[in-house]
Amino acid sequence: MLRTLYITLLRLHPGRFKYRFGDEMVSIFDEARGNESVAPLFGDAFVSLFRQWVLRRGSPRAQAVAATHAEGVPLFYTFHDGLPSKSALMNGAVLAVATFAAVMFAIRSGGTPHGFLIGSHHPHHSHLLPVRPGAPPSELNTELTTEVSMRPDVSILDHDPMRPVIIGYFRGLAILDALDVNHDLVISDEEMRNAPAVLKTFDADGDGQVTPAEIGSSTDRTRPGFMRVNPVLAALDRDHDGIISAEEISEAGASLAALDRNHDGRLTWREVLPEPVALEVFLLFRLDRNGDGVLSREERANPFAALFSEVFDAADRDHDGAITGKELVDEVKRRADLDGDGVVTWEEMVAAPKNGLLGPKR
Amino acid sequence: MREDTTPFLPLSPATLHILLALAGEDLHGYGIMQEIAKQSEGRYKLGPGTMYDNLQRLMDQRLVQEVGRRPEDQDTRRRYYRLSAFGRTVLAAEVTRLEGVIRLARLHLQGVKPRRA
Repeated sequence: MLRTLYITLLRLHPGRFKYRFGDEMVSIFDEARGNESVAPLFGDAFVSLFRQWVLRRGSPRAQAVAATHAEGVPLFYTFHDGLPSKSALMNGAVLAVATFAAVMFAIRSGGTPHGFLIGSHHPHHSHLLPVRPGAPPSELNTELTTEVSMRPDVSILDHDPMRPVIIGYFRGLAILDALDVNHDLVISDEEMRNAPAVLKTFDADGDGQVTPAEIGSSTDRTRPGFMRVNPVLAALDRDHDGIISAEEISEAGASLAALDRNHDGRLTWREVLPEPVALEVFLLFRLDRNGDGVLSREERANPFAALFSEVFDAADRDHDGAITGKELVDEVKRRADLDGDGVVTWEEMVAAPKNGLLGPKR
Repeated sequence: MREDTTPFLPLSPATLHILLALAGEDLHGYGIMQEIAKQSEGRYKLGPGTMYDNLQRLMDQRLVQEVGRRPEDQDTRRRYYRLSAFGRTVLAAEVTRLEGVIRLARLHLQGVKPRRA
């Protein structure tokens, strides 16, 4: 139903826009639906509707696109390309508002694209119930009712320089974001026990296992080391074969509990964030376009890489123009290890701008 | 003849993020959105309507090129986009401009007035 509503919104766009981008936007909706909430897509679609009809009138016509038909995707070229009459615009506006209200009602009422209900709007209780539509009561797991803190971890203060790193990592890693049900930047004991149900929502093709292609960004998920560099993924993938199998899904709670180094019954950022040097190098090696494990001069010839030119130049100790993973690790460690104790902490890494690791040196 | 980048500067936040996302590799629409979210650590997110509106303008300005579909891509609806040579020039000019702004800001924050010519 939500997909149909989204397509309806796209059909309301001017012809030049929907012909050109309609199919791609539906593709994004289908992909996002498997990874994240679709509510922001509807908000964006309403804004886009206003922008295209009111602000972009008279803009250069989009290049004509040969109409190709992908199975199951509506063809947008069948609609007349022109500004509707004022009465039609008014009716469209009323319909848009009504549709928006209906969509928001559907989402808030617990539309279950994954057949899964997590959490409630009660501020003090969290009900964790995996639900299969039509399942008999005997298939339901034990209802868990527990006190849930809705505040972020108080140890991460607003002025803490680690805060953006922690938030970025928790929100950026899809599985971690999903595990952190109440978004308090802590994986509680209850959230760890609910991990198998959360992981099953990532099984987009229903084969019982979760692959890197079903998690992570399109940039990182096919890269070697993606599962290893992220501690949560490495813990879930117990046999380190790059796939979270059905058995590993069922053992997810225990796997996550093994990360609880201080045995306080919860996972804080110190226990789930990757080793900072490993993560820094993994991110910089996105530049390795041919995947040969070396950053060549050609791969570093772009504005993004230019921000780290000082680091790259210093890393190339043998001056052969090619930077290996080891050379980059050694250079990042050298710059980030501010106290020279051989161990790079996250506190030292966020001070990295002083050492040129996040741009020009201060 | 070198094209003048001045009319394009300063870049809007959306344009800057899109060009930065494409600076590393060709990407399709969803890939651009995810790359932007990654680069901004989740602080800046573009919806598809906003992104494609910007992409259309960037293609009209010849800063971005569409490179079509990839045969190996299972989703035939995806189209890939590439930063053009001119787009790369404009992005580099913007990075240079931002570096100057940052230097000036640091000087002011330190209470040191920049030397005037």
